[in-house]
Amino acid sequence: MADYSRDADDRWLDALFAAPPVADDGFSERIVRRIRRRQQVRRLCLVVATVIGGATAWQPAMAFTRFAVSLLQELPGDLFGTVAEAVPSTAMLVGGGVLFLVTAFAFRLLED
Amino acid sequence: MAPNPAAGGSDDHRLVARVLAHQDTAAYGTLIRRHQSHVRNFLRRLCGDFDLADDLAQDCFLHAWNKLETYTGQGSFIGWLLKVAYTTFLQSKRRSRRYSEVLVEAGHEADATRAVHTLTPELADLDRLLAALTDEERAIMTMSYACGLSHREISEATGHPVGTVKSILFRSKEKLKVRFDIPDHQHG
Repeated sequence: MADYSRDADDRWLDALFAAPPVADDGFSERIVRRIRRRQQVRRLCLVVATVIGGATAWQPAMAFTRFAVSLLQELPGDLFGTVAEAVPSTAMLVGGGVLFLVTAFAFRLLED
Repeated sequence: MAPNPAAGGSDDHRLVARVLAHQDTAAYGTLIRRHQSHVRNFLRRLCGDFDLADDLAQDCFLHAWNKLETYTGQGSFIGWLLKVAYTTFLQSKRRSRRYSEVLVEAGHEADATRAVHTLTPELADLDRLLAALTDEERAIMTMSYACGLSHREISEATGHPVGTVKSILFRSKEKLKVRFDIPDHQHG
């Protein structure tokens, strides 16, 4: 809103600058379509990147899990009691935990 | 007096909040429909070329979508939008200047000259009048008289202090009056 008193020059310029409103004619719809397409491409890229990243990280993650399991097996039995007996379930827990974290992170990214 | 596009200010703020919270493209579509006329008219005044102006307006709304979180909600949304439009225009102008420099370096002076002059033959009286002003003066005059922005809003859009905006407006008016031989307060 104009914040000063307008003189004759201003009124003349107001009239001079007055332009008829530009009809939308699908202009806004075109932009919204482009934005939606970009969003879809970004989501698709994210899914593809997650799959590729998961596939690439799978072997090192499993190697790390195996290493952690073997470390647990080598620990003295009396230190952790029945840990050695629970080794298969520990591996599953670690693997499952890693997968859960990766999935949660991917879903968070997708939402963003 | 130009219509005040900031009239639906609080509604604009609600729509912006919806866009930011849910990436709501429908709400953004409403904002575009509401302000496209002012943005396109503003860019048409700056460029003098309707097609180029509409391309820049599309770029402007796409940039605005990407940078919407930088809108703090303190000024009017149209003021912020015109700031994005003005930046888009300046970037495009820099690119086209660089393009023409490259053409000149490559020995294509005729093409370079054509690239710089984008004004259409059906240039209106006002566009011829505005051609006497610098880009910045043209932008500020258009924001004030075509879009009805206040000095404070123009100051936010251009990054100049309010005093500088006032002096640029005064200087531009004087320049137009002198150049086109219009005596004070004698406008038919």
